[in-house]
Amino acid sequence: MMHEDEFLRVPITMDLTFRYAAGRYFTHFFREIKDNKRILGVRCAKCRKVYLPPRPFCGECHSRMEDWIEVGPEGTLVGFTVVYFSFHDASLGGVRPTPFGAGLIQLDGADTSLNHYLGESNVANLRIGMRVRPIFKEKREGNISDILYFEVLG
Amino acid sequence: MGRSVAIVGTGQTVHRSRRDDVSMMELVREAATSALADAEMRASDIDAVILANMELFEGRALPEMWCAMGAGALYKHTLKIATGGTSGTSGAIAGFHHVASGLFDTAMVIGFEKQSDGQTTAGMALTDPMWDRHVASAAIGNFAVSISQYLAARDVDERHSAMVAVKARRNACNNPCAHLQMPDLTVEDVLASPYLAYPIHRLEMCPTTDGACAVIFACEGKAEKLCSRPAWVRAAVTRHDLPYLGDLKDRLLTMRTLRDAARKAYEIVGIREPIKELDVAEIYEPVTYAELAWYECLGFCKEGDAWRLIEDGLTQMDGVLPVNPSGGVLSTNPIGASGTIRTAEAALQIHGKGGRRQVPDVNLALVTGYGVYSWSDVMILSSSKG
Amino acid sequence: METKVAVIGVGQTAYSIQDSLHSANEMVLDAVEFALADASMELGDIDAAVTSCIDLWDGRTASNFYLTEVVGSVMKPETRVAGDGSLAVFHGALSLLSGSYRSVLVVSSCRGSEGDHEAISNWVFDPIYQQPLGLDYLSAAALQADYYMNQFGISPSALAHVVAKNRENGARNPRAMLRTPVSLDEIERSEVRSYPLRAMDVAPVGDGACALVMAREEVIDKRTHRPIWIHGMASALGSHYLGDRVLSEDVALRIAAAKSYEMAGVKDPTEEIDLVELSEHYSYQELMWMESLGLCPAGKGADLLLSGATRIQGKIPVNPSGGLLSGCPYVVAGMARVAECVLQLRGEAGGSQVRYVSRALAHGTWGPCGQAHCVIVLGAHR
Repeated sequence: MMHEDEFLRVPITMDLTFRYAAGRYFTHFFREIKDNKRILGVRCAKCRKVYLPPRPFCGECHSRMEDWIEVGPEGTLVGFTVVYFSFHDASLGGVRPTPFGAGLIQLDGADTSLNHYLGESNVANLRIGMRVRPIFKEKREGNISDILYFEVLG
Repeated sequence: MGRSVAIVGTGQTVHRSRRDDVSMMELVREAATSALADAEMRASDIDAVILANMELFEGRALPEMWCAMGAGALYKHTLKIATGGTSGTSGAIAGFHHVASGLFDTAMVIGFEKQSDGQTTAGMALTDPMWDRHVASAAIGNFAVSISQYLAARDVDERHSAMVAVKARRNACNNPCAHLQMPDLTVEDVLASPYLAYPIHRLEMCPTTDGACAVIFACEGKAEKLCSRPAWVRAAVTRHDLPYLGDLKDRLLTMRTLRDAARKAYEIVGIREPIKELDVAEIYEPVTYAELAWYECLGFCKEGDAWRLIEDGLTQMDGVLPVNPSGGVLSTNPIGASGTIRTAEAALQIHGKGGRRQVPDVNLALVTGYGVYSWSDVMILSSSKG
Repeated sequence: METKVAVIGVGQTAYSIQDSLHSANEMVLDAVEFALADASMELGDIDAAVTSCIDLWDGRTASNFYLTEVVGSVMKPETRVAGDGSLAVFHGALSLLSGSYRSVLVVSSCRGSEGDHEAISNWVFDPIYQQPLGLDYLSAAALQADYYMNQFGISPSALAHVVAKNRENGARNPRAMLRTPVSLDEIERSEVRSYPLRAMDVAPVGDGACALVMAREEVIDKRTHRPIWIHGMASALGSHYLGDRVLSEDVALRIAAAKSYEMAGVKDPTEEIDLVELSEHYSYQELMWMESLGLCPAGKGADLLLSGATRIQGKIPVNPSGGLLSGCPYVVAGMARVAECVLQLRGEAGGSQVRYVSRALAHGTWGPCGQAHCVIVLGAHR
């Protein structure tokens, strides 16, 4: 009978690069954030729901969407947490220091909410219903991390 | 329509945080041979093999090409279902469809996950590259955010959540295969465990596990010969939902896919009062608060009353509807297998093979699966063909 | 099969090496809309979706999440089969036969341009024996090609003839990715990718999606639908370890073909099948798959090809569409073969149309060196 420590493990590291096509909707969305610090959603002509992120098709009504609507920039915190353990963070290329706040933010005018970091990491200072505001990067690149985090306004 | 199908045998591996003693293929083999022994069948009696697994968690692609060899799948029709946490139940539903179609008399479904081989969190982090990927808090953070909404809407306090954790890990002590078995766990222990992501304490979250589970389906005509008390599949319903974390308001609380799948399943079988008519439920509960929220989605109680069910012990082993006698996902979570384990655990209750976790007189059992942000599967198994 | 199921709608995007205009879901939406229009159905009329895409190829976990909205599975059933699109067609058909659904939308998609196909394929090989050797689909295929060619004395020019035929066919097919013919000379002078396979022996992967609407016969309306019926279907998985197989033959494909023929009542495919759309990811595979499909004896695939019998005007046209060598995304490949068969059987194949088609065979394969296969026999008549 072999002991646990005697079993072999074969180490193989995955090193694959992907270059994801953003397509029409995300390209337009990120361009507006990058160039104009504007956040856009898209509205379904049938159910009037405003989706963030914008996407080509309303999954409820089965119809294509072409109405672009500016939303936010401010919004309401509709869910939150403070994370106490560390994970590898692809956008930092390392581990994000803990604790950090994260939450679901419903931007004014949007019907869905956006998952992002919060500028507050003390649970005692977070409540559903608080107002929040995005803090943009100075040098934006055209992706969701152009918003660094949402500042909690109280 | 299609012919009747029943589960005639189940098998599971010993589930542990690390199974260094087996490769992924051998893990599959362990579950497969256990199920075949349970059903007193040979591998050659199985017409089709369905594997359920979330390959990126081990960093694989098409792992069934290799691992199916451990299930006696050579030269058989073999396919893999991969749908996040619902893989195990979607795999079971696929097995049911295979046999109901008339093309296969028997099918074996094996859900498996060998998380110690890979980097689950790296695998889980590969959500939409444009959108949800940037917040590096994984499933735990996502649940935590949804739980904050649940707590704002319901009169539940953290004690109720801790009671769910205690029920799960104590039930697991009756299950020789279960990963986390904690006979002396108390509510205080759970609440004293450190926060992973507020408000989730470490002991309120499911573990990551290496494990596999196999379930054998057979058609009417064969099932009765293979099993003295076949577990007939009376309903199998799946619902998927919008793709992003923030797309659904109060996702955990509403879980409309689960509500609708359960409603449909109950309608098919003719169940009106689930808490009275069901004899046992094996539900997929990734975190304690989910079990509470989903008591309501599953119609076990009125909206807002979930805390009563756990406080009054109605879902304990001696309660009116035992929920997760196996210990649930909270005790054992090899993700691709977790849904298959729910299916197996419900079936073996009907088979009368529950050992120390057997609920008396089980005729009607509920199985649920959960995955990604809001995907749900619901199955109802019965001792009668209907 | 007592109850019959049929394909009533077909949709394919314009396959390309790199589609930068569409994101993955935007691309799939196009294919779905084409298929629905072709079937004269709305998304809300469909009971369930069966999707087919592979996480590592998509670079996303539970990657079918990106398809949910566009395949109509919001608050509806969907299941995702990993493997080739032909397997998803099989699974869609059997879920119809199970009685659980009356109609299904089957969708296959791949974004080959977003990742490195060969590098990704290394991760299919088991991590203990084969992956550490650095094997990928191309090098494994090269091993098999070499073994097969030595076993039966097949010359490289036979492979070149496969490429030339399929590229010529692709040039006539408005749906093909590559639409220029290539000469034998160009093929035999293209650079060696992995001996003995040259660049043109390797089917290009790229971006695209295919969608089919399938339904049980009681849902089919002869006035609005043009059903193409499934007569037989089967799949089989071969051994994963290359060294366990005799690489010059394919037992799994023989088994899948035999089962499919039996179900369809086909005794002699060379007489009863009017055209074959098979998945030749590498040129030599067309020869091997023809043999295992029973179109000719073992080792005689090259003879059959060189006799001209498999040309569009021949006795048993193989890949009149231009096949994979004219370009088709991975995973989509097998489903696109079914789509091409449906178009042929309806007489809607345009420039690639074969005359007198009443039964066709579609084939898909996945895994190293054709480890697993799916064979589907379709017919214009119920």
